Amino acid sequence: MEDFLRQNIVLVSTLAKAIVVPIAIMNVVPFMVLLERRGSAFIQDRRGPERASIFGIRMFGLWHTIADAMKFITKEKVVPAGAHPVFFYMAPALLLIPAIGAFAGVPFAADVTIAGETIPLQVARLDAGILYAFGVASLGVLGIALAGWASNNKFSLLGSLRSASQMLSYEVSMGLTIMGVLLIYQSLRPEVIVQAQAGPIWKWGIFVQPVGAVLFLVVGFAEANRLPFDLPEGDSELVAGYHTEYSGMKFAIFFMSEYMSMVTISAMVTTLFLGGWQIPFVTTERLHGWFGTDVAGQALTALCQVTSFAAKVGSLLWLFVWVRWTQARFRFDQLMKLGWRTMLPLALLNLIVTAAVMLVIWKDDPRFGLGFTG
Amino acid sequence: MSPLAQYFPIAVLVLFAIVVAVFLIGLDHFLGPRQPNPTKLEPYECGILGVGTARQRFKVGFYIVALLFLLFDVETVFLYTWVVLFMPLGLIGFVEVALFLFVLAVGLYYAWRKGALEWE
Amino acid sequence: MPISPQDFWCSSPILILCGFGTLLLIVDARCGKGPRDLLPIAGLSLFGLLAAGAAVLLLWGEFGSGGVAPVECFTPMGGMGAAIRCDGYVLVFDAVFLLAAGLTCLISLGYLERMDLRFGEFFALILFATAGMMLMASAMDLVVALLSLEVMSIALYILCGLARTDLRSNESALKYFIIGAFSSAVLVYGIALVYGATGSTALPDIARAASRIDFARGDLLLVGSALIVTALCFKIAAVPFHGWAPDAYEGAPTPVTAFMSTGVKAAAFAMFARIALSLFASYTIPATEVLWLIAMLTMIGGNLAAVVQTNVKRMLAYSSIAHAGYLLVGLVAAVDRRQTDGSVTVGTPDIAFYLIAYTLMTMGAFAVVVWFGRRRREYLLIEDFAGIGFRHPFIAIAFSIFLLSLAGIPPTAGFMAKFGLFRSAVATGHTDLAVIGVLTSVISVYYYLRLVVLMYMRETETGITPTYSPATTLAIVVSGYGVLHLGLFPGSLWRLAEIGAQTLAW
Repeated sequence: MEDFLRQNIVLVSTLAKAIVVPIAIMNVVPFMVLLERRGSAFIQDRRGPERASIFGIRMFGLWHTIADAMKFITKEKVVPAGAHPVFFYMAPALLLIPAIGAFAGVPFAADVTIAGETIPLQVARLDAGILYAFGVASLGVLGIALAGWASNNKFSLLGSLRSASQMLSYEVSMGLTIMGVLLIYQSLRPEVIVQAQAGPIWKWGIFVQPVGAVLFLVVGFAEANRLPFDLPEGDSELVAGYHTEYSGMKFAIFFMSEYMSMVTISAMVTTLFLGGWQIPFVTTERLHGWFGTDVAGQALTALCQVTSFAAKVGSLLWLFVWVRWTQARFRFDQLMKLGWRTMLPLALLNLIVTAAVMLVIWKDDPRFGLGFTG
Repeated sequence: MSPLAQYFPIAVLVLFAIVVAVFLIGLDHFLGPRQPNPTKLEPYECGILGVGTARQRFKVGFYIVALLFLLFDVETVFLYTWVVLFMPLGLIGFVEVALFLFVLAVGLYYAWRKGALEWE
Repeated sequence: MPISPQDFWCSSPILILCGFGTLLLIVDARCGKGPRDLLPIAGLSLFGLLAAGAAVLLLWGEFGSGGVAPVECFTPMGGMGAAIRCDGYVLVFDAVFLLAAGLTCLISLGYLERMDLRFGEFFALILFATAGMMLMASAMDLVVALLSLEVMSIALYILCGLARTDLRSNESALKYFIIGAFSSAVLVYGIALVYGATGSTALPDIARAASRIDFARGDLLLVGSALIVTALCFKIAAVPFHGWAPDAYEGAPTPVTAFMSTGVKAAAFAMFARIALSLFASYTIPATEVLWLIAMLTMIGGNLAAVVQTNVKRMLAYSSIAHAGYLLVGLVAAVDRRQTDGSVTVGTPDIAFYLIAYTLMTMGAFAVVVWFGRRRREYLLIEDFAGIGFRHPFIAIAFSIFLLSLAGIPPTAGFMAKFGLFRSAVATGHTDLAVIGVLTSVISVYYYLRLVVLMYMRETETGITPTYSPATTLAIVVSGYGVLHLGLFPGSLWRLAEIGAQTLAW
């Protein structure tokens, strides 16, 4: 067994990463729900859920989320009469799969070298990892649109239409806002972008691309359908939006997907703008210098970096909660106005200004060509 | 290693995601009670009796958003290639993309002035 | 080979038109929808067309008047062929497109005001469509050809449906769009097959590769060529691919119909000739026979159908189908004498000359139809024209000149143009086609002269007083002068067309 592991370390680690990472993200969801409940209580100056206890142990209300899960599973299955028999079931799956898949390109620690093999600590190392992440993340809109249509409910349909146009509107800006970062780091590979942010904190994307960072964060909120952009649900207008007719586990999948897409977006913000797994001023080499480069040292290094990554993602997740409980929801026309008339022109401007500045900075670089001479 | 091999972990991941999704939906399908009655299966409309089907024509504004998205997002895709090749393409590349973005901006301006971005 | 400033200079007519089109969109977005707000936009578009025309003239002058040396533009890296090229052939056709676009802008100003279609986009779309036509004429690569075709077509789909509240306009736009999309799909499929057979989309490479393919075994190339020819026949509305044309022409706003039947036809023929001469250059495909059949069918079908029409626009639509047939006669002659380098001396100059004459006379005829209308009202029935010879003698004379020219009666441009085509047909041994052409021209005399007869031979009490539009009148005067000039002194233009056609070889 040990020999097999040693010989097939790449294959085994690849499989392990592809299974462990999604499970980890899915397990963030209960904690995120807890954070949301306790956070909202904290913001609203009340106590929040804490009563559920097992043998007198309350675990700060964590049992509530577990009770939720039990309840979701044992709920009655209701499929409305006019609902589409196939699409009604397909829609949650179509939302869940991209939510799990989108995380694949994000690196969460520096490469480790075990038995002579370099193992990247990221599920898949792709030539265009950023494009992959955005491409897959944008597939989620299909599930939402399908859910609304399959339910045969007017609230659902309206919610899904709103959601589709909201996500489409902000996706345009999303593509353009990240372009500035990609231009500065000259890569579509997340691991290269993170590596470029090593060392001093001012090398982080948020400092070289402040406008892009703010725009991207706003777009991220919109793409995750979170307040102040939660119009697809808009409970005071549309009951529950696209998942009005969903109950039980199928509803739970929508619920989970929303939180998972928040995690993914936070991870992307971290990767692009907050230095990814980089610890400020402490490069991988320095960590290796402290811990050594044997297996234990590498593991410690990776642990530190994963902790750094998790801390950044966690802070952003807290930001999501914070914003949700302090901001009011947009009206739909305000949302469209913001997306098309503010975000898009700003994103275009940001890109062209960035390009012009880099043109001046790089004009003496030997890699800099003058035209199509190839 | 073939360029497709880097997608092997993705395939594993997606397979895993499909298994999870099917498992969860299956769990929901087979566990839990089921006592349907006609009233319960009606579309939920806050207790008011529903009129007609939900699958009908909707506001044309959504189509306009879809069209605008198609235009701008497809044009965004072209920029990705330029962005990573910014250095070798140099000044001419920059000028061409600036022109491209200018046309894009004119399109946005036009849509704006013509009221395609209004939502009432 | 890097992109050089020369590439931009050689494609400057296209770039100027695109620039002005974009500018027009901005201006239009700032302008109101008042009664005279179209004027600056129309003026700007005419200025843009003039600027492009100046660029064409300068290019023609720069390359020398004796023989215009072709310049390959925008050659990508990696051993692919040039995307477009600038030669005499292109410049001659550019002039045709600019003429058609300019006259369209002139006649549409009054029309749009009168019909409450105050869309500034109209002029921008005309400019974009013209740019697409120029690209079509200069495309040296099938992919570029397809893209330019789409640039032109998409602008025209919108133009056809400009009268949004008019059911016929909607019908026209939808029919044109569906058939256009369909024929584009056929074209793409043909391109794919030709690419599969020859390994290239560049026209010279295709011709070279095709020469190595045996006709009996080259079924991929055969099917691909057939699909491309079919798609182009859709675009020029040749029988039996003409079904969309009468409805699309009838429903579209009249200036758009004029533009479609002149500019689009010219562009499609410019592209057709270049692609056909390259595709069949050294391939023993029975191309002449196929084109012969289509030409014959188109001449007979178009003319016979035009006889029974009672609507002037519909009649002119069928007449434009018939003229496509005459033009195909020239193409048959050209393809018959094709050389392995894509050059040809017979047929193509006649096609170019015919298209100039045809543009002038058809534009003139449509200008009269546009002129003959009032606020929110058009008079399109043949009966409506009864007696205008007495009330509007000058317009009636001009209309008669255009109709006589369309029928091919001397001393008008139409006669000289037709003469040239049939002479080439006889010279290449296609006397049968020339005979059919002459006979069908005799049929066409009936329906063209019927209008003339109505104008002069029958008096009516209820006279229609058209809304006066100086721009439309100017367009009528210009085309009338052009038709007569080309009919009486065709020599200089003939020479230009010949010089242009000589540069077809790559």
